[in-house]
Amino acid sequence: MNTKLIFSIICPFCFFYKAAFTQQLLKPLALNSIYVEALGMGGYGSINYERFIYQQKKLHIGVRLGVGTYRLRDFETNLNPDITIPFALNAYYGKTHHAEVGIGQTFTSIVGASTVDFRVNRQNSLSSNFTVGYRYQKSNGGMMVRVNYSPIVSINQSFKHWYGLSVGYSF
Amino acid sequence: MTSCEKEEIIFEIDNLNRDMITVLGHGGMGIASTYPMNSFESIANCINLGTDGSEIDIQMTNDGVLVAFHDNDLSTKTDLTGIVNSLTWQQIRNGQYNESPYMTYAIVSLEQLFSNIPDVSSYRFTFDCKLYRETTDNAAYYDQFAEAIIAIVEKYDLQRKICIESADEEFLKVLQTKRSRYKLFIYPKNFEEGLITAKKLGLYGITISTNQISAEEVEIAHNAGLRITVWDAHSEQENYEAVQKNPDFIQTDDVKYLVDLLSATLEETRARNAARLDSIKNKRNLPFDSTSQAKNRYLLISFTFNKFFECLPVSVADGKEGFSRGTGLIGNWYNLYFFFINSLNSIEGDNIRVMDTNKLARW
Repeated sequence: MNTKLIFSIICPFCFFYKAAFTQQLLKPLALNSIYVEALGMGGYGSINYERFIYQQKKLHIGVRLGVGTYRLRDFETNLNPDITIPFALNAYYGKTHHAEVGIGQTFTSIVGASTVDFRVNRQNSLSSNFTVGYRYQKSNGGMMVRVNYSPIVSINQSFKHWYGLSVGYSF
Repeated sequence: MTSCEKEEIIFEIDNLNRDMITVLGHGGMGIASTYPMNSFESIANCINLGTDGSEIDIQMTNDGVLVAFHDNDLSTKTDLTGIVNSLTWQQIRNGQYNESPYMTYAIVSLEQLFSNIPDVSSYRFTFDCKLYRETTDNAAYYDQFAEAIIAIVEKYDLQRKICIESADEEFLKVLQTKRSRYKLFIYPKNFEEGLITAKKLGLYGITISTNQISAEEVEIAHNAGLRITVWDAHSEQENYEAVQKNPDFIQTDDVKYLVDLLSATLEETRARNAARLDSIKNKRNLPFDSTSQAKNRYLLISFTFNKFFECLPVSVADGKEGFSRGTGLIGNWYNLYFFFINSLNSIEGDNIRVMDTNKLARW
């Protein structure tokens, strides 16, 4: 008797909760995000724009483009900035709390000393990035936060463990 | 400490370094830079920002090449493994720092470093000797290390510009035996230990963390004729507090801040020293020119020895020729010159060149 009573009370709530939850799931996330990332694909930091290009229920796929730098002046103190440009394709799964996986490439143009004559020398290269992490973002936009493990595979096949923390705004 | 109109801070420095603090980068740009410590980029950047020079951590390969590297094991910061002393230079020369993402910087030898810094003999360097080794034959290792230092220092004419620091008393003794005029610093566990050791060995000074020494202790060292080098100055606050202790050298981790902080003081001290020189000139009525930095300007310097006066023509040179290269009588007179120049408090000994050596020899 008691069991039946409990079920009769709880089940309607479950039903309504489920209905409401499903409705929310169908609502797509805000398409655009702008965020600052500490460490991450940009190296030590980058500013990024991301846009969802595909959304289906809890699955969201976005492309990201950023720009970062390590320093603006070279070791001779001339204006000669290092540049990093991360580009990635990320997939998220979830409603507000999302699991994230991604793959990308980062173009880097770094100024150092030539190993031949030790003069200022700019080196361009492309590295691969992988991302596994977590993203917080409400469907109607607002503040978003990402935290991830984003190892780097350089063109010389060296593998580097790396991490990222992003804070931004989605709209 | 006073402020001028531009609100630049002018410190009243009182030390054994002509009342100026020598600003050195800590391994170049310091521990927080995106350039790895002791890399060419880091040291060159530090110099180009206006420091007097840089501290460099040095280690020796097993074939006797001095390499600028800090840690015990290469694997902590580079794509190599093992200690420097277990490898040859050929094995190390292609190694790269791999701490930072996307950026690779070469491990450099002191030879590479000094041969690629323009006018290297005009800068000051402190060698922090990291004696990590595989061998148990300490005597042979110390001897080889000391010889390697002497070779590089003399090749680049840095005898007067180099300070050498080590935590190892025995190694300092070996260096002292080979080159008694080198400026040697003990790197002790604490100030008291450093004071005792430096006095006992007759060293040039003590290198110590700025957190381990007070202004009073700096004064004690100065009174004992010992210079003080402080390091561990990371933040602006730590650099500011370090300056207030009146050390002779600061190895800073915030190069730009310290150079800016001391620029007004440096100008003030130089002006004061120039004025002091003029005062001496007027008193003796000698045709001195206080603008001693100008090149190829003839000076007449008079000094006293055995109650005998003599005027010797010298010029301000570019620093590449100095008394240290002199021989015979010139070499013998070097101490007198240096003493006198110090007393003028203005002219860098390295910038003075005897123009008429025949006259000196006659005298």
